[in-house]
Amino acid sequence: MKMKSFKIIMLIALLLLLIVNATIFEKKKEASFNSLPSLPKPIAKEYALITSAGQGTDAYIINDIANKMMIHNYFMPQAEATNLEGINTLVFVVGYSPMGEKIHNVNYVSEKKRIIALLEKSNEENITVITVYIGGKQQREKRTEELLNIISPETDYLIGTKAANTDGFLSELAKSNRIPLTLINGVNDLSEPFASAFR
Amino acid sequence: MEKNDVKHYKLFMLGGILLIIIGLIFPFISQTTWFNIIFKIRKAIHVGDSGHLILAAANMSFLYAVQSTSLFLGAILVIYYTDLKPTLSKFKTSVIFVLAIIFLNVANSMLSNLPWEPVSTILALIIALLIFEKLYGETNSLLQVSIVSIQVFFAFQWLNIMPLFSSYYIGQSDIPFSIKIAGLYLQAGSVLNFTGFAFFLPFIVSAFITTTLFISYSQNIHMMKENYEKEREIQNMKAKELQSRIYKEVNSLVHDLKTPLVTIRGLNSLLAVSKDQGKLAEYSGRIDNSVGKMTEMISSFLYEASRQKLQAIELISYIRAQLPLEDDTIKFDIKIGDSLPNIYVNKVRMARAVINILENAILAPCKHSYKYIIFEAKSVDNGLHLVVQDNGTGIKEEDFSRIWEVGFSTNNTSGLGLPFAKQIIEDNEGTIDILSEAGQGTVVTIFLPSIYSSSEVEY
Repeated sequence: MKMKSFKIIMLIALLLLLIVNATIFEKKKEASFNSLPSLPKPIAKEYALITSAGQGTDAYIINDIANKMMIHNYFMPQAEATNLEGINTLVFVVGYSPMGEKIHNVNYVSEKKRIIALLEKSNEENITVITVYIGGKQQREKRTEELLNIISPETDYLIGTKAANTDGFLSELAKSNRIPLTLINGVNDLSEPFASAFR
Repeated sequence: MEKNDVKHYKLFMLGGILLIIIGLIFPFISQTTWFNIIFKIRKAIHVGDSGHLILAAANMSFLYAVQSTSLFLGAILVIYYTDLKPTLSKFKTSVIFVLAIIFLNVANSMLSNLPWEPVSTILALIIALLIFEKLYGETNSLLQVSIVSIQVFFAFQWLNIMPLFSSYYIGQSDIPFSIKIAGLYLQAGSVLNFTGFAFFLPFIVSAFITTTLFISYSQNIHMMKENYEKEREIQNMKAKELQSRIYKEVNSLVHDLKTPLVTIRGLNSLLAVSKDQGKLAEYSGRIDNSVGKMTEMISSFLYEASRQKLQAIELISYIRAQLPLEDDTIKFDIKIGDSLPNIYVNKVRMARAVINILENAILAPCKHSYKYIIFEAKSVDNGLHLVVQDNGTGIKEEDFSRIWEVGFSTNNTSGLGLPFAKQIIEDNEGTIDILSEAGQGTVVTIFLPSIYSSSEVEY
């Protein structure tokens, strides 16, 4: 057999191995966690205000889910404390996106200030806070972690992905702040726990 | 290094720096397009159409590919045309190059706040570098390297949107991850995997095919240039050989002119002392005859097409006079038949043609202790046969079909002798045949028509 053909066959075999391994790896990761499927009783009331913490596109997914679940909501990625008038539940979708911040012409410092102001107001008004994080561990970089640390103490219910909790960061956060935590396999499992907070 | 080379190198360095600058400012120039990608992702979630995600992925891959290619080519030019390269090994240059690209990407990411994809970019970089080493070394064309590089970088960017490769830290930055998570939400994970492969595989295959084509094209051009150079060398060699042949002909003519000149001189000295009126007329007639011979020789030389009516024996004698018979290792046997016919040929040129054949026989390699050459002239039907036979090693069967080719030779000669002889013989309405057997020797038979059968003779 010619060396060139041998190299091509080896390359294809390596590619197939990577694909097979990727699938197995994903399944292994899924099997290694036990998650709380949803809340036993509702903790939140409508109207909900869905906002972003970090200006990631994930907030748009939560908004879509809320609309499909017929949960009355306002969707304001850059909601201010004044927008909490008449709101019973504040939903933070956490995920730092540099490009998202650029589109809205905001920077990280002003974003942090906005979130802190929202949290203070919700605390004053006794508004329920639900925090959702649907990124993985790779996306949970320094700024996203800081935002989660800021929001968690005021959070009433935390929903995150198993992939983001491989080092126990989310479970530790829930434990230290004594908040219920639901870990989901992926974004498609989000509807049930999210709806359980309202119904 | 020459002054022009220094200028050339500086120009390439400047081009490299310019490309790096373009790569670094590209995220700022293309900001609107990046924003459009985010809008497309949002739209896809809002309307539930994964088609918008594929469009977003295509835009993203293109932008990343342009940016990566600019940085790659810029870094290549700067490193390739600095004084650094010749002092380092190939491996060290490649390591420095990869580190430089990583540094540029990190710097770019910090400057523009646009996260980069380390795994797919480094993989593409390694492939592009391997291709560059082969392609640039062969073609020296930056345009061809650019065409292939952009294909490689574009192909690898499609891996970023495939949820399948998320475990390998591929596609974990802001935009690719947003595309993937939106795709998974829209139940379009398989669509993204398929689309990723559908773009990655054809582009990467195309990059390798394009490289192969460029390399083979360049090799063909190189071969053509080499052939052209060789052809020119052969032409030069032929011209030199022709000059030498003319010189030889002139030499032999000058030598032959001596004989009638000596006759004229002798007769002239007799004229001065002779008082006999009858002798004066005889001497004058013989002087006139010698002048006629000289004129004939000069005409033969000056006018290739000119031919003279002559006895075959005259041609044989003319050839004999020019044969190198001093070599003890060569035994010449000259056989002249009876009643040889008259022929109509250009004597000087025909003699050169036959001498060429005889020279070939002299030069032919021989296994015997001495070379034995038979030169025979005999009368045949309608003409004259001149036969040259040697006891050399003969011509190999595989070489036999090429003996009439100009430039073909088996004993380091010019390879012009035989075609030259054939041309002259045919110009004089003759034919030439060669019979040879490896190890047995060679027989060359020249046929020249007799004066009565020659078509052009004027009586």
